[in-house]
Amino acid sequence: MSPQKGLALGYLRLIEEGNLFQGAALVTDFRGIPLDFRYTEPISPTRLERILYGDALDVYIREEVILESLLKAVEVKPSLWVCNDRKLLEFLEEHAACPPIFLESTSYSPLDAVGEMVPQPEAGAYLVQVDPISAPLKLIVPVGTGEDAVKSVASILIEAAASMELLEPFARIKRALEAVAAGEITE
Amino acid sequence: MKRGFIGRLEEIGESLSRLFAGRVRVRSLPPRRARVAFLPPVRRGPINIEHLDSRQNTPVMGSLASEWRCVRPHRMNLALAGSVKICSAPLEVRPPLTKGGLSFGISPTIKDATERIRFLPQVRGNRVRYLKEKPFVEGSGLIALFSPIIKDALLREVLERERGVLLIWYDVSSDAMLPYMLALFRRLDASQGDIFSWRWLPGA
Repeated sequence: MSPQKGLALGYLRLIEEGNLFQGAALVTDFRGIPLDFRYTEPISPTRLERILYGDALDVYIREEVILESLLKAVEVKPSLWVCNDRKLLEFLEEHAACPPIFLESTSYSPLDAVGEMVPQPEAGAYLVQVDPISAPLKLIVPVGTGEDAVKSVASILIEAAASMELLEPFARIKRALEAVAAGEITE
Repeated sequence: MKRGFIGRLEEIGESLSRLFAGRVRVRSLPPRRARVAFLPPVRRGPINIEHLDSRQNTPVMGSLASEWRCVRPHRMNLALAGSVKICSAPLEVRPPLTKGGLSFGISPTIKDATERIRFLPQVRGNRVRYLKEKPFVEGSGLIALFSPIIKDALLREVLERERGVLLIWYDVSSDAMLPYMLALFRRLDASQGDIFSWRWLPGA
């Protein structure tokens, strides 16, 4: 199966290290080639801000400062937003223009056939076999997502997985941010 | 005139001190310090104050800090000095994102590095363990399978032996879309010379 032109996947990754928060959005075509890559400079709240915002600080920075800014900045709109932090799903469902999903690797044996989906005990979670020679992926959709919408998401993933490694862009984002920090990538 | 005003303020302070029976000390802040506290506007309805029986043990139901997270308004009771309960209307605080009120030392500057990230290779892991039927080449054993790869868009590939992964760079201007698998074989009978060979296989 060769991928359809014009379709894209969006990847969102947030990195929190100590007092530093950073985020990036990478939109790729179904071959994994970058179409749009935006990142925030690291944000470091002051001690006063930590006291004033309390427990809400992390959520505020992650969602309203970083994610919202990235969603607005990205110019190429993807078919799906893929994140590797399930805490972001609720916010993305409310603010993103396309469906958000959480995707994670597993160590299970491959399921019998491509397209097979096995519901998991966790609400909105499935094991999905997206290609014939890999472990099934763990897919989580926002709670309340209809069956048809889940099938639509799975079909997009299957189509993309024929020509790219679905989780690979997360590692590329991390390498890119490291390169930015080291001064290897500049604006 | 000025002294009269300050005198009046002192009287108010003393009255408040008496009201709280020494539990609270009222002090005025110099104007310079008062300007430091620059909080976002807090929207709240009117506050009703009612007296409680002092024997009643009213728990403090919440704190302002916990209200920062509150998206859905809810009722909050605060007990002050064990005798007065303030029933507040729903308190909603949403810190402003860009201007006014609190703003972080480093504002969220967004950078575009699309052109730059295209120089980074994609990584393909070895999928040989997931193969149900391994391709057979006489005299050779399959040791690695990297997939999917758009063969006709490939500019360069590098095998990173330590991690056993293949790094690939695509020509971003290519329109090629057809995926392939790249298989690495090891010749079983080779005592010297080139013992590895690569073969392209149709996509899975």
